[in-house]
Amino acid sequence: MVKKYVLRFLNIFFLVLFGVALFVFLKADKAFDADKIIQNSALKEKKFKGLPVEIMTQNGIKIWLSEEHSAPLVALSFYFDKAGFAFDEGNKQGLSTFVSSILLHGAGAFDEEMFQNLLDTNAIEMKFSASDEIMEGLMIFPKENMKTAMDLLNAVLTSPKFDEKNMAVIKRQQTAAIDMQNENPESVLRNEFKLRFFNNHPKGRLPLGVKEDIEGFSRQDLEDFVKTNFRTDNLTVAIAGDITPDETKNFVSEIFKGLPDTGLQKELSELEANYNIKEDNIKRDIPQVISLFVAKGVKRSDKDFYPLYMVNEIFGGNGLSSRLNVRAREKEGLTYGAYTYLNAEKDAPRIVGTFSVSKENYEKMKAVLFDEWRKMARYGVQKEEFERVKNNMLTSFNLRFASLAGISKQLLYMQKENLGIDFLQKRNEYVLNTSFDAVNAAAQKYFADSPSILTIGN
Amino acid sequence: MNCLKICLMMKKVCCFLFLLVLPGLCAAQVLNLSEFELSNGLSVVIGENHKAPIAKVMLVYKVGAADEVAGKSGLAHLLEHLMFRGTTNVSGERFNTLMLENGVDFNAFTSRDITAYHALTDISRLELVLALEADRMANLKIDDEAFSAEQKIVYQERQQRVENNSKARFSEDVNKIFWQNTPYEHPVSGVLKEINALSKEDTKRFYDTYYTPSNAVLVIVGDVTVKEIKPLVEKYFGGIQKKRTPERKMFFSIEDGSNIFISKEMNDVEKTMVSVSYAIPSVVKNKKAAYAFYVFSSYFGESGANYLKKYLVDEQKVVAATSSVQILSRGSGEFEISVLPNGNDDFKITIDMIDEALNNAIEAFDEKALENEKKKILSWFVYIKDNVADEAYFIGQLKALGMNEEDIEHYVKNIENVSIKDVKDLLPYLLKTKKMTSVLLPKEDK
Repeated sequence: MVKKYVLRFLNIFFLVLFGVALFVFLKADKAFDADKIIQNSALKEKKFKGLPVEIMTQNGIKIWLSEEHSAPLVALSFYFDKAGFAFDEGNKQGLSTFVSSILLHGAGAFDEEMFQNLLDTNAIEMKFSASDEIMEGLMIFPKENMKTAMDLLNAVLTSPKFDEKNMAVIKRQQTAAIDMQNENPESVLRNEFKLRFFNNHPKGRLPLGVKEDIEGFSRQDLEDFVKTNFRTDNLTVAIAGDITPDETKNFVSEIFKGLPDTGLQKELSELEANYNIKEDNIKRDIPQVISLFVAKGVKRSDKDFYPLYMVNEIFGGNGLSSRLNVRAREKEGLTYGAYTYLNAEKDAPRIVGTFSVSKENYEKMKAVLFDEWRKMARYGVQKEEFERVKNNMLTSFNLRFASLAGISKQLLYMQKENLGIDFLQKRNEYVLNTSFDAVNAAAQKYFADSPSILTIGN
Repeated sequence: MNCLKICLMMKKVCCFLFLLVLPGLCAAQVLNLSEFELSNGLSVVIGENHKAPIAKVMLVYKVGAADEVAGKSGLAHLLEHLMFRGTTNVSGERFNTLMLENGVDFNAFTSRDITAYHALTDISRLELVLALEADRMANLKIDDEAFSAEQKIVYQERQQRVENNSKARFSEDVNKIFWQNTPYEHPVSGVLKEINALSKEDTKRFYDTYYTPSNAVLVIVGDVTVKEIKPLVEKYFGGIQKKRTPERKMFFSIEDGSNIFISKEMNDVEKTMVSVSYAIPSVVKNKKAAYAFYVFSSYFGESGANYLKKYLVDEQKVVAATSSVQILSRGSGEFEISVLPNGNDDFKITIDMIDEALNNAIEAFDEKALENEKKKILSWFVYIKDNVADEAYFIGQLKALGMNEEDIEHYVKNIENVSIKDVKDLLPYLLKTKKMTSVLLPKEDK
């Protein structure tokens, strides 16, 4: 999230982000001895000290806490499971997103103006967002304002105000936002891709929902949503920052005080994702062709997760050094960038990739993609590439602790994916224990079939 | 996603963002900064932050797109790309590989006023990052192959970021007119024809002139102490030869009383969007007025319970409305109001409403509003310590824009000093400065 702030900050300066380049086949000069610099570094490796502990409130809410006292700030992350847009009723699509917007418009004893003023004057950042399966909340605040933060959030969760005026405003904004998605070719492509990939399953819905449904939302709908979804039996909580375990217990009990501890257990119908989307193009008059492509991946708990993660890094992942980038960008100058990533979602695990190229470069770019894909399946990765990516994963480990919100989200994710509270202690072992052979086996297995591709602009 | 849209969905975030852009968000007492200068003129700022064993390194050159000479737009940005293509000591390939296998998250950006190279790294690899950064400050090598590939890449980048998107194209048009006859009028990414006409020699000359120790600011924020880091900076950067410091152009006021209207129908536009921009003083030109705009914009269209929301959005006169202010600039700054009207044909009414709201808001602004707004702005200050990356960005930007000690350290004082009269004075000011109204419309016959 902080990244988003930074991006916006940069926008203000009318930036062009990123330059970046590489691969000139120059001979490395021994004058620059990187190994020596690292070995003789005055600054040695250290460990992050705020590793998480598990604590329980008296009323049985489990919390993973990372105590970190370097700044007087606290970040709380939480989610309610099965409260995301895939669980909206079929004729109320967009309700979870709607609720996530309207929640900050006043609650309990606080009318909207007072509520917003209290957030601003106490520097309390509060945010809700609905994704496909969950409704996630984030609150960051200065420690000295803990009591106010607690009261405001409890009011939001237990007695939000849904007045007619605010409902009308948000209806207008959400429906306008639906139309405005069409202004951006990338979001048109992404939305269409989701529809086809998820085979009309609720997980492929657009988060903003359906205009007709939104216009019909009643106050009762909103109240029902809150009552049925904000409970303690589908709640997961993580905290990072300047707060002790005792303070945490009290703080968390107070925030979630008054929520029911049982409710309707919702289930989604079984998902059969479509990995074989028929190659197709969405017509649009733009100078480039933008593409999204997909192939089968692995879920987070799969034994192939780390091996495939490394294969992906080498193929099209992180940075300028991936095979795809080196060939398509650095050598041939075909594109500003082509990259791939893993989505380890349990019922639709996938490798997803994207690139944008001038129309005249499209066939060439596509040929590069398929050629590299085939090579990965046939020859796997080289020992050198494997070592590099492994080292990258080990040495970049601590970067995840850059901000408190980042840490609390990480702890939330660890719970969501059942990684264990000692995951952070074990993670580098997992990386070290991933063998070269396992990586090559994953390359062979998951790159066997060519990816399906959808484009816009051609 | 454009900014207004984000603002529609996440007011809070925008408000926070806005606070983060504050000049001088870094009073020395809170940030605990140390500054020193090497004998070759490199200016260094160290911020301690001991949350995790990591550090953010940001090397800012005081040169941007506004320093390009006529006909050479895109030069600063192209050079930024070439900085990843290798030096006489380290090839581009090796540079990227070293960053990769040492887990460094690195990138760069170019703006109108600065070019910045930044890296987030484990502290055990901080020295390596400093060594690589120092090396490319002095020893860049530009070969033909890399040059021609990068020329193609920046062309693709421009298409991807700007030309695929109607709104981005329109905002370039607007920018060109608003900043007409100033170095801000051309896009940072350059004009296509001019990008293609740039030569290797152009980039080399630009590099030789502007990439010198005395034209740069090195910011390091993270789990370090000044005592540890000072000798390291000296070790890697100290040996770089001192060169002539290029002249830092401070330019162009555009606050000339003109009143411009521009509207355009474009394909792919679904909703009419109305913007009103005013040229305002930057902190460099008139601190008092700049900070007054800063505080007023928070009240008018940025904070959670702002004036535009209350009187236009909640009354359903428009769908959404926000304001923003930019006072960090070498020339004029900008105060902008963006509105999404109710219907696509409503823009004339909307423009009148914006004018009226602005007048009324300045009139309504009283002691209570002033105190409340100051309190809001100052309360967010504490977040600057949360993320080493954010902290490094701010310090780097401010220092490079020529903010002096006083501006940076007396941030709180500058905000506190804004008086009712300063805000009231904005009204006559708005009448005599440059105003530009722009309307982006959907194509009729769609």
